[in-house]
Amino acid sequence: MPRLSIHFSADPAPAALFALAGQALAGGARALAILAADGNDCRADDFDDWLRRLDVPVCGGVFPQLIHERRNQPLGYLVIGFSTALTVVDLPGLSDPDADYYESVEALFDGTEPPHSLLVLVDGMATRIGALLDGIYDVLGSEPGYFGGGAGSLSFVRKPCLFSNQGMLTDHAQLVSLPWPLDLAVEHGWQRFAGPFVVTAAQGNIVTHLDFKPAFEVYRQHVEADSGQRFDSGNFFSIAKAYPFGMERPDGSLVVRDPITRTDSGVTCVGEVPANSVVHLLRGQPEALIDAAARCGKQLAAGNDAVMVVDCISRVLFLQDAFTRELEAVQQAVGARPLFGMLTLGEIANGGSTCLEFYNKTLVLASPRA
Amino acid sequence: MPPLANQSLALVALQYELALLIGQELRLGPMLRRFFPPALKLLGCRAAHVWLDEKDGEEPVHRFAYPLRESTLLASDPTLLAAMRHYAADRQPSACVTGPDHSHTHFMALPGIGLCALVRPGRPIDDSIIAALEPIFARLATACRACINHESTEQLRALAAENEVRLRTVLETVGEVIFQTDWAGRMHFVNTAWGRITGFTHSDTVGQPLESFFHAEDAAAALPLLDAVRQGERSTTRFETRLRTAGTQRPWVSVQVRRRDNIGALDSGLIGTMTDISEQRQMIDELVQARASAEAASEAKSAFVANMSHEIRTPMNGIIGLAQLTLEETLPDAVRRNLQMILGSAEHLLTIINDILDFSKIEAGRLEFADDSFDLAALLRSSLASFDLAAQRKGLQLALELDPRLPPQVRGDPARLRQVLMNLLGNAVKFTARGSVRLLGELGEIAAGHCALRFTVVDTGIGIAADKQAHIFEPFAQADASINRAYGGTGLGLTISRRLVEMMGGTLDFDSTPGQGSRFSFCARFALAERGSAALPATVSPPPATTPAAPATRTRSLNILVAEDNEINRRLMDSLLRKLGHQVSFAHDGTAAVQAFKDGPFDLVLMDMQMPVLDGIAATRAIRSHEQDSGATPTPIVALTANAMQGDRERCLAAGMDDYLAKPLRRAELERVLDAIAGPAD
Repeated sequence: MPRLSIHFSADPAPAALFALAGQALAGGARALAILAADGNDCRADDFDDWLRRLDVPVCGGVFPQLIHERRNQPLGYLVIGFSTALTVVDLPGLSDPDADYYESVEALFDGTEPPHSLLVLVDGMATRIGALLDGIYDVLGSEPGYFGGGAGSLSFVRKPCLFSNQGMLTDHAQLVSLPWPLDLAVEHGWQRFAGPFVVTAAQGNIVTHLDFKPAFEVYRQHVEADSGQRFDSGNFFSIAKAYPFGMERPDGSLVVRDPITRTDSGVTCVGEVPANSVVHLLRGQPEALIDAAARCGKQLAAGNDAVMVVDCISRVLFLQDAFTRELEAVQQAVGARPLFGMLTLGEIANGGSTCLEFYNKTLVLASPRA
Repeated sequence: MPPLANQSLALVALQYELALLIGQELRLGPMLRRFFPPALKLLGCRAAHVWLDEKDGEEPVHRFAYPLRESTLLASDPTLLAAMRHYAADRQPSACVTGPDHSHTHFMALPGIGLCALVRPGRPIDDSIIAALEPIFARLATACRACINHESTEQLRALAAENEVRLRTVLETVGEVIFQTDWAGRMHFVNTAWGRITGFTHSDTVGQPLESFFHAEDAAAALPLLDAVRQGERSTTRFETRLRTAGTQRPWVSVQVRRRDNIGALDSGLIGTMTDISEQRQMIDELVQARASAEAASEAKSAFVANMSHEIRTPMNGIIGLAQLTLEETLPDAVRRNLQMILGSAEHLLTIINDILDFSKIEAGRLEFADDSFDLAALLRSSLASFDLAAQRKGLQLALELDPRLPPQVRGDPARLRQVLMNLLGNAVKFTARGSVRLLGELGEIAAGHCALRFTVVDTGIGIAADKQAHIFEPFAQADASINRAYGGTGLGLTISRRLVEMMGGTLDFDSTPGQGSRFSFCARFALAERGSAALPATVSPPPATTPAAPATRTRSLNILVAEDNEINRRLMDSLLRKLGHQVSFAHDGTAAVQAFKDGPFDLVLMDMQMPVLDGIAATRAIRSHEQDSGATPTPIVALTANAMQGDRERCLAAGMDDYLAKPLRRAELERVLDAIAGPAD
């Protein structure tokens, strides 16, 4: 059996998932990752008993969409069977303002060598994802390859979104130790068009002031001028999906933050924007994003193993039909290898062996190192 | 991706962002953890380390790593450690080392406190950024210093708090009261035990003078002690007092107080403890009471013994006296022999009574020793001579061997010395069928007005069996039960002798070989008598009653009043005194005696002690009072008493009597007294 076996069904019914899992287990899988599309409208009641009865480690989540065979899939299930048993730990309290994630993670990995790679799945609506990632990196260091993303629904309604042996979970993170090293690549393709601005006030993932002015006012002024559209009470995301923030790094790189809603005077992002950080306004061009995807694919070393794609759902919203071209560009770059994955609320990777970052509007590719 | 259009602005922005990450915590670890993760992301770095200078001249100590996992990696990375040491020695503004994995480690100073390393994969950090970081790290160094100071303050505070908790726990738990006063002696601190013992609250107590809590009867003794400590005359004091309490209890406490000189501080004054000793005091009271009861019981026993002695001696007086008188008559031989046996038995019984009385006194610790000057050689000689008759009858040879160095006069109790000698000689004569009995008197040593004398009685008698030797000094034990039957005796003689010797500062030892004889030896200490001091006659005890009396023709006739309630004794006295040529009148009780005396005149009053209506003491006082009132010359009054207990003689003399005769009355004693009063006849 290869290291991974991939089983897909576009059928949203729970029975389809049970059948896929049965196939994977029958093929010798000793651990399962379950990726479900938000369109399935998964309810915990339908899955909890089944999950608790599974006698192999299980992880996974409900994501806005899935990726299979160069297509984004709004319905259905992907079941990945692993040929070795994986260690899956479920970490609660991902929005707990008092949680010390260093201590929790240290207790989980106490005395053990860091894994080769770590798949990190989080409730994408949780508020302390950044703190969790800092805690994980603090304990495990830069040696493992990290990747993963945020589960949940584009409706931004909070509901159980992670699959575990305990049942479906909310406000949790899942740390899945993988027994092989990974090749990782991270790209986004978004480009500066305004700024820099100093985030003079922020609360978690809400930017309240830019350059000492109400953040939405600054944002609106620049985005309306560039897009020629006007923000009204109901169209924030439809315009903002093309204008994310980019946090400046001294080497010129940018960490993207996706604005998804607005408050009276602020802008709420997926992921934290630290106060006093320097941000730019970015805008995307479809071709630039697709080129970035191709670059990302080329960064992966050649091989035959399947490539897992963690891509931001907002890229689908932005590229719309052109999104399949992004996947095709990746496929072309990585060669004839199975592509599968999920479209997420935020992406996780430590691109370039640096600190673990929570990205938005970004493409992460991961493949077992040959 | 093009860099910021304005590079300076970008660096200022970086400084701004980093600077505002510093100092968000007062604890070093959390402060650095708030700074480094975002700083590393901003700088594209993988890890950071911080080393701090903890001791001058020593290698800085690794105090922080982000991620912490890097600490483990660092420990196994000699290249990086060597680079750190090299940088730590030089402390250039910054230095960069490239590792085998192509990562770049930038060492930067934390001025005045240590250094920091930033590890960046890929390209090294730009020089311009390093330059921009220098003021940031200077600020970080200040923040580290503040954290360290804060942490050490917090540690001290925690330690102080812990100590305070510990101290408070001790103060609240100990059973002793711990208190402090100011210099004026006003209480300003007491622990919990104070409330438990006194029932007073803290507010009842604070501000009140320490001594105001002492029982009024005890405060007077305590105050001078407290003042002495307050005034620095002594540093500590200790006393016991009863405490006033909120209730009716008045517990006894042992108080210890010392000065607490803490100049200028509020807690200067006295500090001390109080230990509740009520139980001990109660136990002591009970012991005192128990001792008093025991002493009362002992008194009662002594009184009983004295009473018994009196009760027995009174009839004995009659038996012996009348037997002696009768023996002076012309009698048929058979009657004389029987009468002599009666007299012998009575004398023996008297010895037994005396032994029991002595033993009882010794047991009660009431035996007192006289301190008289006496002729030692004469005492030894007369003691041995007492056994002449018995020895002659058994054909034994008696010998006295005296050390020529013996002092002629010593001070001590001759009667007690004689008692021991008589006991040892009596035993020797009793247990020796043939051969000899020798009495040896030797001088041991003379020092500081005292001398140690050794007396030894050696016989050639039956000796003492080895297995009996260990028991011969035990009361009522004789070498063999058969001894009692064969030789008589109470079994108290040696016990009494040994105690008497011990009381004379010596020991009584013996060695004995069955069939060959025994040797009893004791030493005793005596004071040396001053030359020319009046010595008692060596013969303080009357000769044996069997010694025929000398004819009573030398003294003038006296008119004697005898106060005696016992009829037999009256008859005895009548016969005896008339025989000696005196006139006798009798009174049956004290009142009659006083009246008879007033009707007198008399040359002498012989006064019994125990009489109905008015006893001898009271009657004597009445007579003396009468004489004083009438201006008459005091008439000699001599006590006649069977009360042979200690103190009788003193009571008699105190009541105004002139002399003292113990019953059973020994004729020679009586004659001595009569002679002294009558003087020689014409």
